[in-house]
Amino acid sequence: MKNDLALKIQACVDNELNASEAREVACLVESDAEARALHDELIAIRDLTVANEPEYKLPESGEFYWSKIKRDINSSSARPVRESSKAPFWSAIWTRMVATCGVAVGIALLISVNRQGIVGPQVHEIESALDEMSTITFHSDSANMTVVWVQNADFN
Amino acid sequence: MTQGDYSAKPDDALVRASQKGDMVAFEELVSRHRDKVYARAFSMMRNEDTALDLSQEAWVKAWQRLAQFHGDSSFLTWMTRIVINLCLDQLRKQKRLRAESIEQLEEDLGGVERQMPVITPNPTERLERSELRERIDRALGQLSYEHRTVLILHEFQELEYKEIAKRMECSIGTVMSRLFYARRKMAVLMAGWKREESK
Repeated sequence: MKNDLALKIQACVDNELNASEAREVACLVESDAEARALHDELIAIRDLTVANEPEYKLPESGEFYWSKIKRDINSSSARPVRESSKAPFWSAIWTRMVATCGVAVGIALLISVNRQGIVGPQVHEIESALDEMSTITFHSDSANMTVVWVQNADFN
Repeated sequence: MTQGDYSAKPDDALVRASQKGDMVAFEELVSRHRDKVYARAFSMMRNEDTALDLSQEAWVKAWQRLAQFHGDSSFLTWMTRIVINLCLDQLRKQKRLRAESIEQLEEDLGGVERQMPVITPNPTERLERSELRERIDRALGQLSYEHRTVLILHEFQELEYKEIAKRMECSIGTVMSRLFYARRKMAVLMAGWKREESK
């Protein structure tokens, strides 16, 4: 018997076929002795297995079994893993973006003010108060140029 | 409330109490269903220690996820689903660690089930029920885990082909083929033991 036909007979036994397919298989089972034998065997072994599911008893006392569950529950709740208490992942990105923008705006303002001559040429270095960023600014009067070095503190 | 008071309460009342953090109520649920949850783990894993660990892990997960239980199914059905998923995860891990079994190769190469003779129905008549269960247990133990799992999910959990395929992450065709092989092998094993006894 072909494999797909055998599987179709099994699908019929398991009520997995639509009405027309089921009728088709029923006709085959009636007319073909081999198909009928397989059909009957599948039903017999299925019914036998379903009606006699093996029973397995817990191999240790109920108290001991529960004690481990209780211990694990208590230890897992002792360690707070509540997602809501953690800062979301975008929070760190946002903080860095704000910090970077803040530094950039500060530098732009400084350069602008410097060009207007409000700040004297003695300004050579500016330190950022932001922990995560460090900046060094160098101004040369002779070259009329300002160089700004911005560095992430993580790379230090 | 004492443990005795809880024993008279139905599952849904215990679940509601547990959802509010009442661990005594949860202990009563464990006490009621621990055998069935353990049994399902053992039937799939065939190892006492692993079944104990996984069934206990299932109870811990259930406690942590109690808020997600809305009573759409019975509490035991929900618990069984958790333990089955843990077993399937464990079996997948084990499968990655070991070589494919000969049975699996045979199945892939064309199926030994088609070489098996068709067995006369009811090969175990006149056996006591406990003896029948013992034989079925022995036969289940001789199947590869893929075949045993499909058989358990279909015959004992009453899942449809589609649902089994989803849980086992395989095609419906594979489920049908494995179920067919598992049943035929069970029939052959049971009939073989009967023949041995009648000699």
